[in-house]
Amino acid sequence: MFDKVLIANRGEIAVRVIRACRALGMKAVMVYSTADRLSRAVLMADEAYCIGEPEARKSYLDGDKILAVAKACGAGAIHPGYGFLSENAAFARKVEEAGIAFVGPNATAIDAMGDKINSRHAMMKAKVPVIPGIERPSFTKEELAAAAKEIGYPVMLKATAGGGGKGIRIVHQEKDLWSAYERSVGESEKAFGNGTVFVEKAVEGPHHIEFQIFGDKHGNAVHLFERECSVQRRHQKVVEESPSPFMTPELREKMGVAAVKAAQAIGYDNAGTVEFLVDKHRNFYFLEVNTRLQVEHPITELVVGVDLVVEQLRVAAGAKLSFTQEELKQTGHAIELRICAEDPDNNYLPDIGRIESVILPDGPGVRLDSALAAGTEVTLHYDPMLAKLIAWGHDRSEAIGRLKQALTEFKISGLKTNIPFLGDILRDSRFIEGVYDTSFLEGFEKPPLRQDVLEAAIVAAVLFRHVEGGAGMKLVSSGGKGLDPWKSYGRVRGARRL
Amino acid sequence: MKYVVEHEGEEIELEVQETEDGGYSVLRDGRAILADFKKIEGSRIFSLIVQNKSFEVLIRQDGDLVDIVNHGRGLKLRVESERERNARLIAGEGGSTDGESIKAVMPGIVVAVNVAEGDEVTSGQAVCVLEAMKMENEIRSSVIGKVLKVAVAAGQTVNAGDLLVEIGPPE
Repeated sequence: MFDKVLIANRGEIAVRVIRACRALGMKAVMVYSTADRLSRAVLMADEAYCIGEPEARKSYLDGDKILAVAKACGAGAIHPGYGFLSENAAFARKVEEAGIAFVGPNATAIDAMGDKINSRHAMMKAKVPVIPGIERPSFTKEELAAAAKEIGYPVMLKATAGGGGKGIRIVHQEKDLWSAYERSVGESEKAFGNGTVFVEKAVEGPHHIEFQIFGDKHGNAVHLFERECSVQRRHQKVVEESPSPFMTPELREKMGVAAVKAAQAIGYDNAGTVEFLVDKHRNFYFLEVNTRLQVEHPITELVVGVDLVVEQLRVAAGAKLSFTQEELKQTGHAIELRICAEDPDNNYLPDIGRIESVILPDGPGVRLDSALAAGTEVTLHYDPMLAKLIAWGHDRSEAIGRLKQALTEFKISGLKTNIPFLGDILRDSRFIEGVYDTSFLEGFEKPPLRQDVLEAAIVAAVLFRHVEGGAGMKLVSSGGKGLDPWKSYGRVRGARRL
Repeated sequence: MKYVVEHEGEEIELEVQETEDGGYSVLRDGRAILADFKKIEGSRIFSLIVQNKSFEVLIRQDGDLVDIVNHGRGLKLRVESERERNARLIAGEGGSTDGESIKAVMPGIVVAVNVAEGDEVTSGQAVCVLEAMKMENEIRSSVIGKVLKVAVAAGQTVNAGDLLVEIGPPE
């Protein structure tokens, strides 16, 4: 095992990895940007090295600098967390070549999954179902009709160079196919300068369900069951839970086998995640493999009873997996909320500022993964996620109840957060019943407010205004005489309409 | 003191009275809501106990709205004193209350002065008429406030930049 582990990340995940190192009696080394000098992770670390300016490419993405620190301080391993360098095969390779363990899969496995086309072909070869599709530089009307028929309606037409929903059409019947294709080609030529469009099976009522996988350097691979991640906004996960309310034992068995096959097909030897799309008929299709520790790993830890980060470190040091597939069981239910500094009422724009004070939630079955502390500066340089609030219960409804209570307790002063938005989700009838797919947040409406909560809010607002004065009152005390002449001139001009 | 709270298009009138024990009585539709309201220092958290029901509320001013998180739920309310609201309604639009110095932007002749010192003005209200380039122009206040000084009289010639009327905050 390692004496010392360097953590090439920041925020809550750096804190999470420090905890795992400490639990194993290893020293934790932090590298940090100047913006993170007073962050929890740097304060908690055994050693800390400043590696540059806040901008990620000058610090957390500077692999050479990080590797140099690792060599100089004698770290036996580098844990990349998620994001930043975690899925950078070239970095993983350099680390291994320097005789330091990269806490993640081998560079070849990262490479194999980094390319969408290659990974699709690898999965087809391993007999893992992929979304049926046909690609070619261009189609004649007859070729297209034959391709769509072979795949089966409804089909999606997708621009190869696509993104942002441009060049995408869903087609339900043959008579609409050719005109949709022509429009899709035109759109993608305009948007991307490339008119190549391919046909793919349309996944209806899709669920995003992923499987935690784990492999070791001895050829063993297992899965640690699923996570339901269909509560998404613009492909960003907001709420995750395990088990999936949509799952059946038969489907879990089939998907689990496919996930392990996927891991073995690429010689996977650490923690990873196989993402699938599952349609409303419970057909599942391979999407991609995330070759790293996932943000939402805690829900798996709570349900399966495994410390995934500790296991990552053990396996990276060459140990065999400490569990077999047969030993792994799901117990109870866990749900995670991603607490972000953003304003859901203002198009989810990230909010920045200094955290003035914070009251952290706690209680039976409640877990908080965060690096939050009063005085923490939240900047635009990094992800707006502040914390992950997770609750475990014997069943789903107990987990929701515990999560609701913890969320109510959680108070962050100083910037806007999505806490109230998450509270709305937990009270949505579709969420409570566990009947939702990836379209859940489209046109989401706030559930009604309890009458006494609403009245208390109104009374509080009036008393706040009475005690503190409103925005207008504040300006009275600071304004009046010392007006900016240019500002007044602008106002006067505006008012006069000369 | 009377206030109007706007929530999802509905206007709720409330009157706040301070009680002898340092608390508040909030009148809503003739019903008195007894409230104990205290700030947790160093935070934006307030403790509200209404008729012995306890709420821990996060409150922040967000532009001209009050942003509230209570019991894990959020809402945004517009809170105005009754007078502010009346002034806004008369002006037909919102107006700042931070005062302004209204100056001539070009040379001209003051044709009429519509306000006197001490008058309350609302945003959009004409304070004087200035003739310039053979056009009569109404010069309007862009704020809600009180006239502190009228610097010109009818018939007077002014240059660009000369002060016409000084408006301070409302009382």
